[in-house]
Amino acid sequence: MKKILIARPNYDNGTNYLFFWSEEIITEAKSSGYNVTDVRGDEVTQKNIIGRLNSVKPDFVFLNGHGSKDSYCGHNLEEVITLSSAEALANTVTFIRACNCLEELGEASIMKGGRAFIGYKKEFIIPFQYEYIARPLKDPMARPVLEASNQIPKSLINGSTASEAVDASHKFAKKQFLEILFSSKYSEDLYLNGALMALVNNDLFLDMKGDKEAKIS
Amino acid sequence: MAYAEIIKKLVVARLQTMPPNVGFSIGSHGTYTKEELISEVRKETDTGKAIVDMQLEFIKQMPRLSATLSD
Repeated sequence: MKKILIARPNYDNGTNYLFFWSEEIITEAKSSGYNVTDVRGDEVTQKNIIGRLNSVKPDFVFLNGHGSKDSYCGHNLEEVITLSSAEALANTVTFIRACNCLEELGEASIMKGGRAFIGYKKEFIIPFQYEYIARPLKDPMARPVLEASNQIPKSLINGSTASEAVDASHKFAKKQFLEILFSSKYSEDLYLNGALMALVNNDLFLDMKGDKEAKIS
Repeated sequence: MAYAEIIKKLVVARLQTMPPNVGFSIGSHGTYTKEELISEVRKETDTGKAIVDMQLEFIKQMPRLSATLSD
């Protein structure tokens, strides 16, 4: 059985949105027959993640949270994977949904044996409306942005290559751009304007490194 | 007026069009209200610079997005 490791800290507004928007990925992976290791909340520490990567040896690693050029951070900004520990991602297809991780951390993971690494070159931005912060799945402003990035794990779970998964997200984002731009509400709905800016930003900086043909299934 | 100052005013003006209950989570920079973002841009903090970059990139990308209509 193929194995997936998902990490989803939940200690601030941004990670709270990522936490809840990752649930549909877990559901889909389980229903597709994957063995899912769900590391959540304050369990997302360096010790737990590196330990699970070494013991579970997942085929696909999906990490949510905050990041920088040289590290992925878990609970309370603890550095979980850094340039010096990037070999922990060897033999995996990895998607890190966090800021800035692609260029340096992604490159390091590939140099140390990672199969493919998908991530963002700059900030990953989540727009939201304050009245929805207790119900992130209902937030209409965040929806197009998080649905676009969810296309990546969904595509990989359903048998796409890493490159196809990135393209699926670009394609979804493009569809969203056009729907928003040509919405009859666009000129008057300033929430849509904010959503569009974040969608364009995130899509522009999404890319991958490593084997474009890598699959997890 | 210096070019950077004009850009800053443009970005502030665009942010001011947004409703007051809008927020943005910008990675490890944190979560910001509209008014906080405007303040960050005016003070030219790292977050403010990231927002200026985002807004400029958005404006630059609009022709490309419009061109996709013919695809």
